[in-house]
Amino acid sequence: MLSLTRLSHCVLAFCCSMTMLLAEEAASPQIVSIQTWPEKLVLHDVRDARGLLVIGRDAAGKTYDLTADAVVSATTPHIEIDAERFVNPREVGSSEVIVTAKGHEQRVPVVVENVEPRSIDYVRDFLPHLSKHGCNQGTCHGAQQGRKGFKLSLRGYDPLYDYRALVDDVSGRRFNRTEPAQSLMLLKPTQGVPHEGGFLFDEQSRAYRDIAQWIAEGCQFSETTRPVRLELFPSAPTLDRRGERQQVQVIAHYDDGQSRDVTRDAMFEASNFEVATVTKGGQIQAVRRGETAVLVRYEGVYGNLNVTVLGNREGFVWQPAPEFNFIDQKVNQKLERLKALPSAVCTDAEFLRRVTLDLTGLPASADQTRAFLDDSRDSRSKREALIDDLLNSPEYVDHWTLKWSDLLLSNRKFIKEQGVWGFRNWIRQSLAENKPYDQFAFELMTASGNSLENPAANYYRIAREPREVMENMTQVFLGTRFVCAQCHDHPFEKWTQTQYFELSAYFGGVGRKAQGTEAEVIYDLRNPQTVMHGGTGQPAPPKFPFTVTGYEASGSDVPRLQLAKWLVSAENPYFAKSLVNRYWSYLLGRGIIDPVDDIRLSNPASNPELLDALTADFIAHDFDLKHLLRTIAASQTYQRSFITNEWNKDDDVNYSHASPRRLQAEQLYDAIMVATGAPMGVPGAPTGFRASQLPDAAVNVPFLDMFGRAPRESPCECERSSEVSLAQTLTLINGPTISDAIAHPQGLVQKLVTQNVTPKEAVAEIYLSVLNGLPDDTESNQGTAYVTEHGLLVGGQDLMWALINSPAFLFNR
Amino acid sequence: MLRWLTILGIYMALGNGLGLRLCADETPAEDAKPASFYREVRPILQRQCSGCHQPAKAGGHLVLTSFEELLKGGEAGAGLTAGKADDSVIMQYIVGDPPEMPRGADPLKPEQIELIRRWINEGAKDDTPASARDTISAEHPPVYATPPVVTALAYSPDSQVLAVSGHHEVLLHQADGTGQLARLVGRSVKINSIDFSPDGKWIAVTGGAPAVFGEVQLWDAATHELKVSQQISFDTLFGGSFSDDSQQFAFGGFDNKARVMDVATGNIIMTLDAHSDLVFDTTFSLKLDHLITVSRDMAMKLTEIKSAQFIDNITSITPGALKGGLMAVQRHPKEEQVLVGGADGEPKLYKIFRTEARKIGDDFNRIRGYAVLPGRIVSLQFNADGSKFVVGSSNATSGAARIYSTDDAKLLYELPGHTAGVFAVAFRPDGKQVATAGFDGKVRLFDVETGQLVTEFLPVDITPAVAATP
Repeated sequence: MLSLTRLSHCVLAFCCSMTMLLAEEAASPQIVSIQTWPEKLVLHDVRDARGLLVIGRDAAGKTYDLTADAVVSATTPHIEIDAERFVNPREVGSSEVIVTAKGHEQRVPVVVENVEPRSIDYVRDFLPHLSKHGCNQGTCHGAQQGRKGFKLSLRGYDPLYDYRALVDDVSGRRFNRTEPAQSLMLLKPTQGVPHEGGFLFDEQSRAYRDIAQWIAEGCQFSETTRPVRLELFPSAPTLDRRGERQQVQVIAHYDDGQSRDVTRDAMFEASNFEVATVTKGGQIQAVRRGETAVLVRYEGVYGNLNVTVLGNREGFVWQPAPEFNFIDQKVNQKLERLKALPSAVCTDAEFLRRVTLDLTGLPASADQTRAFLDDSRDSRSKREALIDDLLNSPEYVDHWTLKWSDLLLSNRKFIKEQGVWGFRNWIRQSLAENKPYDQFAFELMTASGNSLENPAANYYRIAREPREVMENMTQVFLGTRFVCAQCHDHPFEKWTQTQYFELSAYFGGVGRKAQGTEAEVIYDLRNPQTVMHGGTGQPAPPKFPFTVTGYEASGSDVPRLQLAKWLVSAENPYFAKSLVNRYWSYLLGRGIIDPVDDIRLSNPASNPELLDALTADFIAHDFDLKHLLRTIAASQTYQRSFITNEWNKDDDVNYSHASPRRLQAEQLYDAIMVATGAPMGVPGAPTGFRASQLPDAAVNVPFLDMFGRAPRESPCECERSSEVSLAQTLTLINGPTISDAIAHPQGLVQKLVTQNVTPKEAVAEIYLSVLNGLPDDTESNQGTAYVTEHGLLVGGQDLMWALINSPAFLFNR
Repeated sequence: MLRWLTILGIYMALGNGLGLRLCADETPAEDAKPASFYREVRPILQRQCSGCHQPAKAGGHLVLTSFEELLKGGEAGAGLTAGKADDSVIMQYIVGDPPEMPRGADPLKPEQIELIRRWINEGAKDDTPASARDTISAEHPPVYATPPVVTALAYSPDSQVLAVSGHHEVLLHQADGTGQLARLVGRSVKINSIDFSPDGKWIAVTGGAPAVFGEVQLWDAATHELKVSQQISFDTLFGGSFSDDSQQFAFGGFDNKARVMDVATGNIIMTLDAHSDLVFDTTFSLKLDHLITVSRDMAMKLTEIKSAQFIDNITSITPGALKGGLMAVQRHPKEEQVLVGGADGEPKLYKIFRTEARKIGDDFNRIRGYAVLPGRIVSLQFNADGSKFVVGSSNATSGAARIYSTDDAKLLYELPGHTAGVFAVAFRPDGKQVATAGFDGKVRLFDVETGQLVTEFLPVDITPAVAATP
């Protein structure tokens, strides 16, 4: 009965929310003027057809996209408007088009510079049609084996391959120069002959005309370059209400200075279609408040629109929030734009617990808490002092050694037990001396010698094939995933299959020689192993996938030394940025680019200005990791409360409030020991060892596995699980780890019993130790009554158990 | 419990939201557009009916490969009554439980039947675009604005005539390139192979229209009359070859099959089903009892003709990054050996019959390879005694043709002047010249003794086109 009532309640609530959503839809605006983008058109050649975006403005100055409703007409025979309302050149000269929308008229000057007949260019005029109509997509002829004996390169990444398939295959089966209309490549998509891919375009379409003309002109190959970049307008559209639309214009730029309006031929994809959808023709439609990227793809180049749907924000007034450093400035700028208000600064007690957990992996002890809360300095000063203390503590080294051991896959399965200890010590040493991050990576990349004497050399024992080393290196140090490119060009990125093998080739010269059973010697081969291109079967010479300004290869360097210099260069657009983003995610719970190790155009930064500023600051401070952590932790953004307000409760990507994070496996285990006062110890490890100090996952601790410690098989940040499961809850409620710790004879409760403190004092001590803060009056009274009733020992243990099982303990918030 | 209910609520919200979005985005229902004969009805007839109702095999005297033929109907009367689907013959045949047609196959799907019904009720209009109509026939021979790609070349046994493929036709030229003798215009849009029978009586042509039909044409070499036009399968045929006694004609097909036709009767006497991709070329063994076939599936197969029994993969090893498998094969004129070429660009000589026990992945039958040509080998031919051969290759944007000496594997000549893919080569039976042609549409004749170009010509007359519109 109860459940039925609740169910109907849910349905009711759901209906209401739908009504509200509908009510939110844009009312018809009162347009007072219109304008176009661009404001005038210059048509450079006979096939340079261009479209116009039509923008309306209401009395308040707010703009509306009227492109879809506008009527476009020509005034002279110089130009012709086609069915898609594109302006086509017909005669050289000046003209105007008249754009009418919502009762307003705008005249747009047009200059036609050239109408000389020009043959269809294979790369620029012909191939884009195959992509737009999906011929070369992965489910059709772009599949690994093609379809029905006809195979194109996936999404058209290889024009020569496609030419061979279209023209050379089966002695010209697919075209007919004498009667272009009889060409198989035209009969198939028009369903003139049976085509499993169905009907794609008709005989009147632009695609048909261009393809037919290319065939009639003799199917000429061309080595014209593909575009170098896309210009998108508007680049960051903001839509107010559900249902509001915005047409995008896509201009492709070529290295020879040409440009084209390719809006009709580009491909659009919204990364979060719950926020906004996008049509095949590039019209964005708002669905609900939020942000999404719209990825635009055209002939191997990619562009990205950040779409913001504000939703109904009536009544919102921006209130300036304090700014402790540049981070807050960048974050607040974004929040103001989004019409979100940040939460207030968290309490000193909250800050203490949060920053201690984040920087050292441990919660504060009761003594530390008391000392911090009693510190009479102003809040901001003592917080900054605390950050410095934590960064200089030995626990900082342990905590970040664990992180780096995860990322570098320090695992005895690969490097044996001695290797794990050696590698761990090398990482510890590096962190303890705050080795600059570029130097840290450089030493790993260039490590040589006996892995016992130079433990950094273990890096090359973990991944052993050039391709594996490259995949791990790019994911960890560049935050990008190259692995898709092994079989074909990356479908959502610019990385190509050729680049995959060329970059791998830098590791072809790494030699490995066994030294006893525990160690190996890493050295440079005199004759590097050739890496073969998986697509062409030809050797792939070492080559970087992107150039780094200022970096010049020195021919005398062995390949991996060249790679190391290129990698750690301050100008490398991924190296510093990916680290900064990764560290940010450790402290704020979410990367500015997220996931942090999947940086790609289709996964854009939620706040690029913030990421750029952090990166620049990191580089300006010589890749100083402690400086980076200090800067983040000292920001007001980091110090915000997790409690949301009316204007930020729906934000989970713009850092307007703290995001509670479940303690990670090792953190949780160690926190239980700190909270209960039980001595540190992990089954199977020397006494005094904390969970975060274990050398690798081979030390069998089921508690840690249940809470998702990283098994160190892959460099993916996703290896470490932060999910919440029923088994975890049961373990926390019933498991021996917690009950043994609470009842430990050296534990806090036992100590309180020995000291014979009052129940009220006991409650305060337990709160301080478990939650790093004093109880409020209600909590204190309830706790005191309970402890009074059940006695110090039982009552105190019960209270401690209850607090450990509360979100305030299990989460870092 | 509350949590589960919340999740349920979220699912419902998602489901509902999706529904709303679909409604908003959906284009008007398809019913708004009239049913299209060309795009919707014809493909059904093409796929499910025209196998038995086509010009070469008009079951019930009914042909369903064109609108006009459908209207005309067959033994049961006119195919349909426009506007009255229920009175139309075609509906009576395709509706029913089970329906009478298609015979021996699954009934049409309900939506296909509904579509045809709607089309008839809407007036049974023919909306075939002008561009899709094939208007070429012997009376209206093709007119060329650009030279067609040449895909086949063949010399007559007396070395007097050179047959060259055109669009929809075979062009007979003086073997010395001095003039056109005749135009053999047939149904096939694409010509894939041309062969003179060794006795000189026949010119056999394979081809068809891609994705529509395949055809074998047998022309009387003396009178230029079309004696046999046999439509086979729903795609083009390839790689014709006569048996040395001129009694049989073999060819491959896009349908992965190879067939042997009895020349006297036109009957198919053997069908080989062992390949898994299109069969590019065929050749008979010296004793004429076996057929050798090569395919895009990369295998060269040996089949006994009498029993249609697959004997052996002579080879199936074609390394190389390019696709295409094995594309050309010819038996040595005097030995049980075959010359083969394909996607790896290496001409190779093989023994037809195995002399060592088969092992997985072996290549025991290989006798020797020849210097690799750029790209894929599309065509090759021995001279009359097998001492030399000519071979042509295509590499997407370029091509090559060469003459090799068979026994010592010597490259005799790189034939100069090829700027595009070479799709066809032929060795003149008198051994004095070779012909090459391909993508650029030119026929080139070379002197075998010097490797020099003797002459080159376009096999068709060019009528300048009306200027192309932008």
